[in-house]
Amino acid sequence: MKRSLLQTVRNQKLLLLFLVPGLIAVIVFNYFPMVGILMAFEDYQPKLGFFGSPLAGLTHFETFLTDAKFYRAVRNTLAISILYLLFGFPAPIILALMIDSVNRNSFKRVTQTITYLPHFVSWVVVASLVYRLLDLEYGAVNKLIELIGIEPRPFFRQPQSFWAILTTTWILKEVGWGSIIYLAAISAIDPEQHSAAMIDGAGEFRRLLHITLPGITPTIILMLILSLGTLVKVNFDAAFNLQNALILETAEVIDTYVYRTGVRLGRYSYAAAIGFVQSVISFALVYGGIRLSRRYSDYAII
Amino acid sequence: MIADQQLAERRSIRLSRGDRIYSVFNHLFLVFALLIVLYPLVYIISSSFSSVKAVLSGHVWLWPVDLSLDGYRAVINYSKTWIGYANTLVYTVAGTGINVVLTILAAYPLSRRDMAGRGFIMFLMTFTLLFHGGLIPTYVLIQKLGIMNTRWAMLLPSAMAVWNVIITRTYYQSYVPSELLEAAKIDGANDFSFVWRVVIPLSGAITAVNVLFYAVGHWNSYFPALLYLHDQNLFPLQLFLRQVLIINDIDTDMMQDLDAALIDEGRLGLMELIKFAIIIVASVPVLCIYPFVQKHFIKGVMIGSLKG
Repeated sequence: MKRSLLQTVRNQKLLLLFLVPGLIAVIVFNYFPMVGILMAFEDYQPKLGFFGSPLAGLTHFETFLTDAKFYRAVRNTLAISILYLLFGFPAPIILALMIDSVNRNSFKRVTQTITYLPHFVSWVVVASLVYRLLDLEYGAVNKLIELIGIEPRPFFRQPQSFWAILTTTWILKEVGWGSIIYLAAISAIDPEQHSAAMIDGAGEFRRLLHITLPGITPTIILMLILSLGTLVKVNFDAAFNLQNALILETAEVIDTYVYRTGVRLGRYSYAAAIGFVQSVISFALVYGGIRLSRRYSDYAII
Repeated sequence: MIADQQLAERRSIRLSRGDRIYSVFNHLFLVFALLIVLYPLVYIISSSFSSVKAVLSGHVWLWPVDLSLDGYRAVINYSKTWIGYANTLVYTVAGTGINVVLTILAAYPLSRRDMAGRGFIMFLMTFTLLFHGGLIPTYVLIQKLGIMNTRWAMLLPSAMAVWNVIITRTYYQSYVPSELLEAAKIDGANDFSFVWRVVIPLSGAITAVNVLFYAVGHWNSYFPALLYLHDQNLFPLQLFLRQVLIINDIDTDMMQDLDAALIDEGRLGLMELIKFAIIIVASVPVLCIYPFVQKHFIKGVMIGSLKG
C-alpha cells in the first residue's frame, strides 16, 4: 500500500504542483484566519500578536452576552432574516413561474434581461439610488404618495422603515438573478406531462398548480434548507450601504456590528468573539440543513 | 426557453376564460415589475444629463430637464475618477488573471479521478464554504502579512474562489473525456501540455464563465479597499463612488477645472451633479457587455447549481 502511494505521488508530481498555488491561497486566507479565532479568547493586542496576548478565557463572550447593543443587532438580524424568508425567498420562485407562463419567447427574453441586470450593479450605486428615490423633497416615491394625498415621509430618518426598505431593495435587486435556478428546474420538468394535461383540458393556471409547482418542489425545499444557514447573517453590503447614523436602532446587524466594533473601534477580541459565535451557528445550521436534505432527497447536493 | 413545438401546442389550445384572466394579470404584473426595475436606471441617466439647477430643485423625475453635460464635465475633471478607474482596471485585469489561472490549475488535478489525495483536498476546500474565521481574524492576518495598504491586499485574499473551482472541475469531468488523456499520454505529452493544448481549448465555455464572474466581482468590489487601503492613490473607483454617493464627500481640491457656473452652485450642487454622472461612468462597462455575455453567466449558475 505504502509503495503504491509513493509511486502515485511520484507519477503525479506535476499534478500536485498544479494544486500548490490554489492550496496556498486557501490555507493562508481561509485556514490561517481560523487560527486567529484564538483572538476571541484573549485580550488581543496587536503588538503582542496571536500567541503573545494574555488569555482572557470567556470574558469577551460574557461581555457581549450582556451588551444591549449586541442584542439589538441580533434582533435586527433575525427580523430581517424572517422578512427575507417570508418575502425574499418566495419572490424568485413566483417570478420564475410567471416568466414561464409567458408564451412569447421575445417577451420572456426581455423580462429576463431586464430583471437580471440589477444583480450586476454594485450595492454602493443601488443604495445611493434608494436614498435618492426615498428623499423627503426630491424622491420620486414621496412625490408619488403626495399625489395620492398621503404626507411624505423622511424614510431614511425613521428607524421603523429600514427593515422594509432593505427587504424591498434586496428583492428588486436579486429577484431576477435568483429566479434562474427555478427557471432551470422548471425547464427540467418533462414536457410530456404538460402535453398530457393539456389534452385533458387543463389550462395554464391548473397546469402551474398541478404540474409545475410539484415539479420544482424538490428544488424549493433544497434552496430553503440552504438558506437556513443565512438566518444569522444579513447581506453585509446591503445593510452597510443603506445604514446611516440616525437609524442604527433598526439598521445595525450582527455583521456590521462586528465591523464597527472590531475595525472601527479596535475592539478586536470582542468583535472576534461575536464573529466566531456567528460562524459556528451558521455552520451548524447549514450542516444540519445538508444532512436534512440528504435524508429528504435522493441525491446529495454536496 | 420553450421549444417551438411546445409553444405551438400551448398556443393551439383555446384558452378558457379563467386562463385568459390569468394570462392578463400575469403579463400586467410582469410589465409592472419591469417598470419598477427600469425606472431607477432611466432616472439616473436622465439626471446625469440635466443641469445642476434642475437636479437640485428636484425637477427631474423621468426625462432630462435642461439638457446639459455639466455633470459629465465635472466627472471628467475630477481627478479621483481617473485614479479610481486606473486602479479598478489594474485590480480587475490582474485580479481576474490570477483568479482564472489559479482556478484552472486547481480544478484540473481535482477532476482527475486517479488523483492522489483528491478526496482530502476537495474536503479541505469545500469546508471553507461552510465555515470561516470571520472578518476580524482575516483583517488582522492581512496586517500580519504586511500587505496592508498595498495592491496585494486587493489581489491576494480573493485569489481563488472555491465555488468557481468546483464548477470548473465539474465541467472538466463532464466534457474532457479520459480517452483524450490516454491518447495524449501515448503521444508522450505531460500533464502541463495536456492542459495547455487540450483542456483549455476544450473548455472555453467555463473559462468564459470564470472570467466574467471574477471580473464583475473585482469591478464592483469596494469592501476590501475600505478595510485595507488608506492611500487614496490605490483606491478603486467603487470606493470613490462610495465617498461621493454615500458619505457625501467630494474633494474640491481634486477638481482641475472648476467652471465659473459650477462654483456658483457651490459644493452641494457640484456633488449632486457628479453623483449621477459618476454612477453612469462607473457602471457603463459592466452594463454594456452585460447583454452580450448574459447567457454565459446563466450557464455558469446552472452548472454550479444543478451539477455541482
